[in-house]
Amino acid sequence: MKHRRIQKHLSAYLDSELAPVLRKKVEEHLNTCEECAGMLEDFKVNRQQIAELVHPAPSMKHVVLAKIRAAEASSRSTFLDIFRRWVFRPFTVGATAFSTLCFIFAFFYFSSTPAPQYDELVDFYFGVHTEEVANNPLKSNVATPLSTPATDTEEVEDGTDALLDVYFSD
Amino acid sequence: MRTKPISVFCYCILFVFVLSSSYLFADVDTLKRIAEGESDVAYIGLRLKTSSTSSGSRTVEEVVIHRNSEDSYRKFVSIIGAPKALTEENDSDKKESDRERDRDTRNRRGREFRWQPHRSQFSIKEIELIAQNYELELRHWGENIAGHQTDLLIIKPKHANRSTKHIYFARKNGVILRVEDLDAAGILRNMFVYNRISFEQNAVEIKWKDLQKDINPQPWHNLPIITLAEAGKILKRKPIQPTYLPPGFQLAGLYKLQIRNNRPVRLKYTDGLLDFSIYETTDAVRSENTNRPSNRGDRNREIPVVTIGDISVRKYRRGPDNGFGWKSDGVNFFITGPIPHSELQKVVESIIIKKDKK
Repeated sequence: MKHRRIQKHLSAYLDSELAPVLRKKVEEHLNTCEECAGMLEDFKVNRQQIAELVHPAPSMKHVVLAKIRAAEASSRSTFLDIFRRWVFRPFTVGATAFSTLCFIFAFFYFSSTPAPQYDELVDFYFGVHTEEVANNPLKSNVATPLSTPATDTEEVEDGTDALLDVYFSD
Repeated sequence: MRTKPISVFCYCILFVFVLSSSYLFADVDTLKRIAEGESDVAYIGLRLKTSSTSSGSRTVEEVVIHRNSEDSYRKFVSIIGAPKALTEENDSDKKESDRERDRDTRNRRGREFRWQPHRSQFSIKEIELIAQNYELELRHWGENIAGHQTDLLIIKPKHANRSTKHIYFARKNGVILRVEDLDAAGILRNMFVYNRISFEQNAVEIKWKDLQKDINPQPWHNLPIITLAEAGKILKRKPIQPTYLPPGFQLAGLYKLQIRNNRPVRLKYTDGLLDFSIYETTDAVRSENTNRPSNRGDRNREIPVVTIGDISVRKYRRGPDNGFGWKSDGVNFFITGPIPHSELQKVVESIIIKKDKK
């Protein structure tokens, strides 16, 4: 019985987990009992063999994933580092501001309405006058006598003959 | 008691004077009554309108609805006849001209057959100027137009090269029922006459409700009136005014215009009936050296140029209006109005000479 009780505590004895009184009793017994001392030696050998066991080789999947994660981590840190270095350079700040201003200026320059053609302006001027007179029965626009269209001579022709020719020529 | 012959004579004179007083004093009040009638009386009617220019005559039927000074619209319902050019054209020019005219007619008709604002701008100052520069003669004509008894106001010019106007207006409310414009040679050039017109407020309101969706009324934007100082700010220099004006003309106002990014200033001059305008702009204008008119069938004809001082001035005619355009010291000038080139040219000369003296 005594052997069996002592052998129950051998594992704890190896791990130095026993109370001092119990540890002393176990040691006294081991000094006198060959069987229990042999068992303790077996425990020690087993533990050493377990500790020396070689771990199994990792699978191909784990190896690839680990490499990808490592690459990602290294590239992320590289990009952030480069970005930080680039942004906070005085030259970069100036160049960015200048190019932004150029972009804004170009946007307004190309999107703004172009100047009118001269002929368009002339049409507009005549149109403003015609529209105003057309709506007002107390205005008139027929002071100049009817004549053939303007020539470089200023003489006002009596257009009667020309007018009648047009209407009677058919 | 015997009546002395001299008393009889005096009574006769007084009687004649009283009878003719309405003719003698038909002046500003008649014009004001017509202007008020045109603004305040609601009416809906159909009128025939004809105009003659050197391009030929054109007659249209037009429907007009006038609810108040804000809600007033007109629309063509039919066009009768097509204009004919007075200039000689060779075959290829004629074909090109015909094509352009057809295209222009199609575009214009698209616009004209839609409702357009029909708002008259009657200013007391202009009415007073008409009374000042024209002889007014009121005739109790008594004839009916579109079923309404009318009176006739004849506006005859005191100065040469001006037009004459005959206004037939409804005796009961002053609304104009017929207008005739005669040019300086006494030839009838523009006319409109109502065939049918109703002054019943209810009829106008009912029709307005029916037409409102089709008309799609838009807020009315008058040309913005500006002061001389504001015009100076726009042009970045003081606007140049002519030292010569045709007899009876006065500055009626300055207006701010806008076409694309160009902001011309308009100086409007009037004798009450006729207006001419001077446009000045210092903003950019593209291809200003073109010497081809943009006007319809006139593309093959070069614009006549006159030289005033050392400046080349281009001479225009568009329908009844004449014009001159030139550039001087970075300012683009344009003058247009229905008065003869000879008179307009004097105005141009006064501007150019004034600038030269400066």
